[in-house]
Amino acid sequence: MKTTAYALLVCAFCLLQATWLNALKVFSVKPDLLLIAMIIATLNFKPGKALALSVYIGVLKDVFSPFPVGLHTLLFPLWSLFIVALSKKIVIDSILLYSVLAAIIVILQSIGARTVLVFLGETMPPGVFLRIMILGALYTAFAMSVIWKLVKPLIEYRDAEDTIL
Amino acid sequence: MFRLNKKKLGIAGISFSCVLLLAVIVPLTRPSLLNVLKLPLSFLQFVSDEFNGFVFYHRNMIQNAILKKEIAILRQKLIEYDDVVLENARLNALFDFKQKTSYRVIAARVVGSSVDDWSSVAIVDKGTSQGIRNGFVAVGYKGLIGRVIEAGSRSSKVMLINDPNLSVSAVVQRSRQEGLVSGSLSGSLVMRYLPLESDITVSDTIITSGLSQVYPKGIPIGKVVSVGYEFSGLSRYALLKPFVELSRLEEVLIIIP
Repeated sequence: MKTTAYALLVCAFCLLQATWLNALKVFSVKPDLLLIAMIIATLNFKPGKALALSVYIGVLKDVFSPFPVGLHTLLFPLWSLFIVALSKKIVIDSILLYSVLAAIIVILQSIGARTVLVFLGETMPPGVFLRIMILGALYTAFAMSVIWKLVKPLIEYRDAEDTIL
Repeated sequence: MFRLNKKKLGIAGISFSCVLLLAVIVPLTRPSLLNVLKLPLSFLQFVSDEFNGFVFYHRNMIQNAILKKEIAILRQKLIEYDDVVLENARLNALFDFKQKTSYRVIAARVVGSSVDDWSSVAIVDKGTSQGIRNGFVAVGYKGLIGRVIEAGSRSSKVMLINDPNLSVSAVVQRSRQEGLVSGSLSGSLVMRYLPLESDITVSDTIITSGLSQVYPKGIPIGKVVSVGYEFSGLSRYALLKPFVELSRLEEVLIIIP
């Protein structure tokens, strides 16, 4: 799949997350499509392109967030680097591993983001934090398997075309 | 020992600096980026509304019948209310009280929401070109919705009252007991800092106090659903159900002070 086509797909994901996904909220939590898009990009594109895509996805996410700094613009490339480093140690090729990875990153991102925001003076009750973190991780992991099944043929179709050419 | 490749280190340093710079710039460019995304967002919202119209046709039909009945009752009450207003005006004139000015409002349509679960924000299709500024209060037909935190030229972000970062000074309508209402990112709000002897019970109505001068006085916020004691045992708290259905917002009214 071409990088530009994937970038457009990510934009569509972002718009869906801001509108239609509100109907699929469970206990005020919805799956993080942009984080899923970042993981898929990192595991299926070359590291340079994947890093650029993760910055782009981070910027898109920050456009809709009320935080005073572009937190996701900073965090997403870091997760991308983390996944690249991890994929050199273990082979991440099954849908289960994709989902586990998504859940781990959601948990780490929640802890990281909240820590930064506490220093910026924004507080949140621990119960709310745990609810969003745990449910968010599970829901995103579930959505990861569904999205990957939908996106995989698109990515592999283009790859196959490139190989033939 | 580490062997540093100067070229790679330089590229990594420059890349990191660029990302860091971008992270600082992104919040400043949000309004213009949101303006670009406003059109597809509006379209998706429109499709979603139409789809909901079809799917929930039966529910809407029943709701419509109930609302028609409610309108009939409220019309009757409005007539009685008009009499009270006229009487109030006459009495105020007698005592030379300054008349409270009515609010000027701008109606805005909700076109999107926050993409993460850590904040409760609605994106509306009106901005500074329509007279909206940061800090303006957003209300619904039933009560308080939130506050404008970022006004772009043709779109704005409204932080909703169920966001934990938004606190509203409030009072119990019946007993005038003061407290601070804040969100919990769920369907309920929490009213804190209530003294142990505070006069508050289930089904009390909570309204804005007007003490902070940010929110006009008397805007309904929610109804008390339960009252409990804080973990420290030094004060009480109350859980409220907001009057406005915050998860299904379609339109907001923004008060121009």
